[in-house]
Parts: sequence; C-alpha cells; structure tokens
Amino acid sequence: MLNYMKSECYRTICGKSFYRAATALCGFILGVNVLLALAGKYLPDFQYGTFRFSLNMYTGSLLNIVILGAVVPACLFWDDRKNGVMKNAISYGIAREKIFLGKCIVAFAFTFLLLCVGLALYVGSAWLLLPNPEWEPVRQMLMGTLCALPAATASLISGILLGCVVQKDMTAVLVWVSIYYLIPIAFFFIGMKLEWFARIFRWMPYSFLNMEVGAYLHRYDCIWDQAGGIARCIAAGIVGIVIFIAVGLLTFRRKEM
Amino acid sequence: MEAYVAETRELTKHYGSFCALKQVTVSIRRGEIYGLVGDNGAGKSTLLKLLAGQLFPDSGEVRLFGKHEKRELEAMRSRTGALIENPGFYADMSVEKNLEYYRIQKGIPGKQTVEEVLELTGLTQYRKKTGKTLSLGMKQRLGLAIALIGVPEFLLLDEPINGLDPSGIIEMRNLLLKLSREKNITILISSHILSELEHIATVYGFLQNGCLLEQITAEKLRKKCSDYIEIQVSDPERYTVLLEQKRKNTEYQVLPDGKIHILNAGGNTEEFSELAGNAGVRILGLAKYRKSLEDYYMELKKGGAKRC
Repeated sequence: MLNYMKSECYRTICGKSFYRAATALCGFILGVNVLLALAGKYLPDFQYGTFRFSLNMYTGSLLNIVILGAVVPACLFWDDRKNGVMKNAISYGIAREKIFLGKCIVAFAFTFLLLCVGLALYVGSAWLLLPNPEWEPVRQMLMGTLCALPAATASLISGILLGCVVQKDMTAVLVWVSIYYLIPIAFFFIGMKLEWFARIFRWMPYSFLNMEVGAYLHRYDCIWDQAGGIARCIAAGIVGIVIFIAVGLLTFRRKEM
Repeated sequence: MEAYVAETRELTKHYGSFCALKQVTVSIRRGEIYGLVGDNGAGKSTLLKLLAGQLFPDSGEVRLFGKHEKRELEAMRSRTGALIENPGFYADMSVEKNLEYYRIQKGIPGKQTVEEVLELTGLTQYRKKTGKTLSLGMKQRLGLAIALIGVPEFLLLDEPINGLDPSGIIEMRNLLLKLSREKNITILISSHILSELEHIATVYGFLQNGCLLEQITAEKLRKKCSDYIEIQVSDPERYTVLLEQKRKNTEYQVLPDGKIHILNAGGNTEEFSELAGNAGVRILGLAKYRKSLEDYYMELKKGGAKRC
C-alpha cells in the first residue's frame, strides 16, 4: 500500500488537478477579502468590510469544509476509474482494499494541506486588507475547523467511495448531496413531528455545523462553546468515517472494472 | 520453476443473463506466445480481465504461476503486465511521468527502468509529450510501455495492434518477438486479425461465444494447414487403390462428392496426374491449395456453432 500511496503522491504533485483546485480555492478566498476591502473603502454605508465579518463568513458556514472534503478528492481521483489507471493497479496485484485506503489517506493529506494553506491565506489576507484585526474571530474559526474536521474527513471518504463505485458522475453527486443535504433536511422537517428523527438529525453535519453555529458581528453562539458540543461533532465525524470506510471496503472489494 | 504461467479451469463468467465465458480451460506454458483468436464478443477480453483480476469469475479457477488463492494471486499479479482495452494513463501528465508513476506504484527501484522501457517501445523522443497529445498508435505504445515496466514474466495484451499504422504493427510484432526470445516473457495476446497472430503465436486458443473451441500449437496447426492437392478423377475407387499400392505414405481424404484431397503431397502435382494417366483413369480436375489460418478458423467456427 505504501508504494501505491507514494505513486499517488507523486502523481498529485506532478499533475495539474491539485494545483487547479488550490488556485481556485485561493483565488476565491483572496477575491472575497479584496471585494470586502473595496466595498468597505468605496461604499459609504457598508459596515461589513471588517476583519471580523470576513472570518465570521467562514465560521458561520462550516459545511463548506465538508464540501471541500468531497471536492478535492473528486478533482484528484474522479477520472481514475474511467481512464483505466485503477484497472492497471488491480492488474499489477494491488488489492482493491489497499487502493481504496491508499486513496483516502493521500486525499486526506493533500486536502488537509490545502485547508491549512487556505486558512492561512484567509486570515493573512483579511489581516492585511481589512480593518480592526482581532484574535477572537481567529479563535472561533480554528475551533470551528477542528470540530468540522472529522465530518469533512467522512465526506472525503464518501466522495472517494462514490467515485470508485458509482458508474455515473451525476448519480455520485446526487447521492452525496442526498447524504449531506437532502436526507438531513428531511429529518429536520419530520423531526418537528417525530422526536426520534429530531434526535438523529442532531448528529448530522447539516445540524451541528450549519444550524447550531451562529457567528454574528457582536457575539458568537457556537456548538463548540460547550464540551458536549465538541464531543458530538467529533463523535459524529468518527462514526461517519468508520461507516464510509466499512462500506467502501465491502463494496470496492467486489467491484469489477 | 512452474511449467504453467497461467491456467484457467472451467472458468465461467456471466454479465447479467449473458454468458460471456462457458467453462473455459486454458493452459499457458512459460515462454509461449499464446494467441487468443475470436470474433468480437467471443469472450477474449473477459478472459484476459479475469486473468488480470479486473473481473471475478462466477465459477471456475484462475491460476497464475501455480497459485490460486486470492492473496497469492494478487502477489503473483505483480509479476505480470497488462494492456487490456484502453491503455490506462493520465492524459495531463507526460509519457515519462506516467511511466515514473507506475514505476513507483510497482515498487521498482532505479529510474533507469523508465529509460529502458522508453527505449524498448520507441517512445524516447515523445517522453515530454502529455498523454492527451499522443496519437492513437503512440497511446498504444505507452500502454505497452506501462505494461512492460519492471520486465514482467507474463504479459496480457488485448488487441494491442488496434490503432497502429502498418509500420507500427510490424514494430509491435518485432518487439513482442524480441521480448519473448530475449527476455523469455510469456505473452497472451488476443486479436481478431488472424494474419497478425500467425506471425508470432506459438500456441492458439480459438474462442467462440464464450466457448474454447480448440487449443493447438502453431506447429500442429501448420501441419493441419499445409498444402494439399485436390484431384477429381473418373474412377475415384480405382485411384485410391493405386494410391495405396504405389504411394504408400500418401495421406488422403475422399470427399462425399468424389474429390480426393492428397494432404502430404508436398506440392508435386505431376506424379499424381501421371499415376492416373498410366492406369487409364481420366483426370477431370486437378488443383493445388493451401488452407490458411482463416480457412481453418472458419471451419472450426462452423463446427463450433453447433457446440456453443
């Protein structure tokens, strides 16, 4: 498996997909802060061109990290099954389980690297371009990232699993969207009538990263304010990781090329 | 050392309700170039994919280098190279980087391996080109180069001459012969272009509708396909008596329409016309024929159509 991971690292470093994804992410981050800075400078009544507002945009929408978790491996590995490189790896005797786990580990490493670079660029550009830099929004941003990391990792694994197993790209995207958006929203509405659905909903990333995080201009009301909230984020993420790895191993080991 | 590099026993594979392979048993000895012949949909690619581990059999067994357990098979596959259907490479990476990727993946030490394979396949001058800018023939070469990384002992090639120009076909043929002779690589090559296999194969396997019709060495096949004389005489019975008496070693067949096929005549028609003339048997027709691999295959197919 080590050789397979090394080859994937080599390919990611030599290929263009990772750099395209990194350029798009960094461009977006810089674009947001430049836009806020320009608006703050030239629009007289614009009160959002601040360091706190910029960082709170990130903290208030942590589900974006979960999306990032699926998008990066999609950029890296989406074509592997179609262009025939995966069948080559199998022909050379690399077990399907090792291919799946190898992809997960490599994708996690590069996505985490990208996340770190993105966060540094986010805070750095906001610090340089926007007024009133302060520590509290940075702390909240880092806490939110830590709490979202297990769920983002589960999302990453699910993305790789769908890319490896599902034949059609659109079907894979629909399944992913169903897992992270449609099913939780359904549970939310049914949970208004049936308590059990509401309880399950609380363990879904859509709930604890989206609906239980409030980052406002003058205060924070976040799930990680309490130890129980942090534990729920981490536990839910770990459960997701375990489930998707198990499903991945079980389905991919019988997958025909 | 194992006598058989690859074997299948009663291998069966279905795609839904369609039976792609029916109890196929093949044995490939070390050093052989095994030509797998069959029409489109005969099951050639399926058999290769099963050997490469890309598909799982419904029943039957695959053995590589004498091993058949799942983990053992995976380990044995590291001794093989495969080019099945489309060559698998990254389109936005250069030829050289694609080969380096597979070198690392196979755990082969030393970067000179890539140089060797580039040279062997004639890709040295295209090393910096990205996969997507290569012509169809060059893509096939890259696929072969990937399969050859680390000099495998067993090479699985599924219609490797597809997309090659005439000179490319000759180069590919020479390369395969060179690999077989110099590096003793066992090759399983599938094709529906019989004339191509005729130049290189040492053993043939004929597939039709998922059935293996026959497995035969090239030598035996050559004997079966050698020159023969077809002679039509006024009195076939008398002529066969003459053959028995005066040409004792002659192998012949009497066809239902009275025509006689003299199989080991060596192409000499005169002595057989003289034999008839001297005995007063009138010759109605005499011609020399050569049964080609195509003829043999077509005959085999006709017979196979009843079996499969």
